[in-house]
Amino acid sequence: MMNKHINQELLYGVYSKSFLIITIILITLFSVIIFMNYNAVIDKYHDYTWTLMSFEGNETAIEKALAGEFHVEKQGNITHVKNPLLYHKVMTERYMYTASPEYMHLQLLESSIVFNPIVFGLLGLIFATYDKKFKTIKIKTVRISKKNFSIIKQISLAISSLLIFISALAISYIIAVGVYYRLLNIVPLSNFVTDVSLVNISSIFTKLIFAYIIALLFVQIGYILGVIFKNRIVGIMALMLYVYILPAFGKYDLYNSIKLVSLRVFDFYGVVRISQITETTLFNAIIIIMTVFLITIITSTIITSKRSSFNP
Amino acid sequence: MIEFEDFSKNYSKKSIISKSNFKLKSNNISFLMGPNGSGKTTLIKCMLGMEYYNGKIVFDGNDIDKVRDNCLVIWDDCPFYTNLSGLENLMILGEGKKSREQIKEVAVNYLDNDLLRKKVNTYSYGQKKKLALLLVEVLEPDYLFMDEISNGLDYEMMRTLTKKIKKWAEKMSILVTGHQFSFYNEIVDSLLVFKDKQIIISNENFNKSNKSLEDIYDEQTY
Repeated sequence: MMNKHINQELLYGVYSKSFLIITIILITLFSVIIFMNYNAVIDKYHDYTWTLMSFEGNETAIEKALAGEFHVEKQGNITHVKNPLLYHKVMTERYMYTASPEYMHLQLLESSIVFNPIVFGLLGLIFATYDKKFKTIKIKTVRISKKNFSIIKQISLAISSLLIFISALAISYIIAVGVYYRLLNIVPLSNFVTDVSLVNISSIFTKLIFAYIIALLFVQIGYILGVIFKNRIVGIMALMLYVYILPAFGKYDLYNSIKLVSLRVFDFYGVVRISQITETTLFNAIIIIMTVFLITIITSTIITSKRSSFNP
Repeated sequence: MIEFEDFSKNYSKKSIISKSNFKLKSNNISFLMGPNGSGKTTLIKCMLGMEYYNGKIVFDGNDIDKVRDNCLVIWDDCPFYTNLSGLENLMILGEGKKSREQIKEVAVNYLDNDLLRKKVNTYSYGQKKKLALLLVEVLEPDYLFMDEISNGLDYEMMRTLTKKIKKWAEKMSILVTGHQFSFYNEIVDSLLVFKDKQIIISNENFNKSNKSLEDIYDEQTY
């Protein structure tokens, strides 16, 4: 019986183009990461070739520099690099690797920590508010109880989030491969091959699951904000304020906990970096994430069940 | 049959509907008569568990949650997704009971295909009413409640609708409310009225009596 009502929600997402718009937004944001990595390769490669020119063809000096080591020292706002030729070569190699099909999908998953909160929060807000906005809740809650109405919305959000995330990831990956082949026309790959041993050994599956959990968590947060405020603008502003502007609320902060877990799951070897976090244990972080997830499910279901379908 | 046992409705301490006991027969068109604000729409909300009430409402021996799936209400304001086409609305709210082609076939009697493909925000109030009637044809519920259904309909549609409602009643239990008595005179089987905030059955065989709803309304002196 629930299936037909889940289908209703998914059909609305398709017909209203909400799914399409959310997928396009996510692809656009993923593309920002792809082009940031593209620019990083180009910048570092240019730095390398400029430094190489300063050697004026002195092969012995070049070989000596490349066989040596480099040091980076920071003094206030100024960064001193000893052996810049090797440094720029290593950095070019690094960003070439993260731009490659071998790493790019992992980098896209890493970026989900930055983008999923807003993108999937928006999806949750849309689903929480559209039946109120059009008053169609008056038709739907005749044929299903308000409790089931809320549960169905949340199941539909979980399904649609997975489909949107996978689709956006797949399309962005294809874009990334195209961009990488363009890079190969500019940067001679044979000069910039490196062996990379990454710290985190979590499987691609674990990374994918964690990125989806972030989507799921924020789709729920968006949903409950929509249920409470009945307004998408207020909800999205609250989300942006929390994720991007306000500082972390200490070790019990949700976003801080997500960042901490992500450091264990992802490598952050490319252009995606995490800002400073408040130290807490992995156990605490997982408990906080799970608690918030459960609270959003239970609270939104209770509020929807108690609230009249006729209140604007 | 829908049975009301010691049914009453209050808003805080204010009584809206006093303790009432009555039954709505199966495959019957029941008409609830009452002035604006008397509690007609509130009764429908209570029947569907959308508002708290005192007493019991039983649908063929079942609680509303057992039969909810077989109920449909056509509200006076006809809510639809105005950002979608009429056809898309029927595909969503029709719960997959009929295919796109089947819906188009049924729609012929109500709205033409061109209009059905247009967004609902371009529809007139009457066209939205027709779309709601089309939803009845798609869902084919066992229990149908229609709040002020004749409002906004053109004369031709009202004539068609009287025949349709009679045909629907062969399979559905129908409760209607409204004020355009001339429309309802032809179709009503049994009549319920508000008397001193109580709902009572005024005439179980209204269709066999020679009275009109207008006469009965005058007798009630609301």
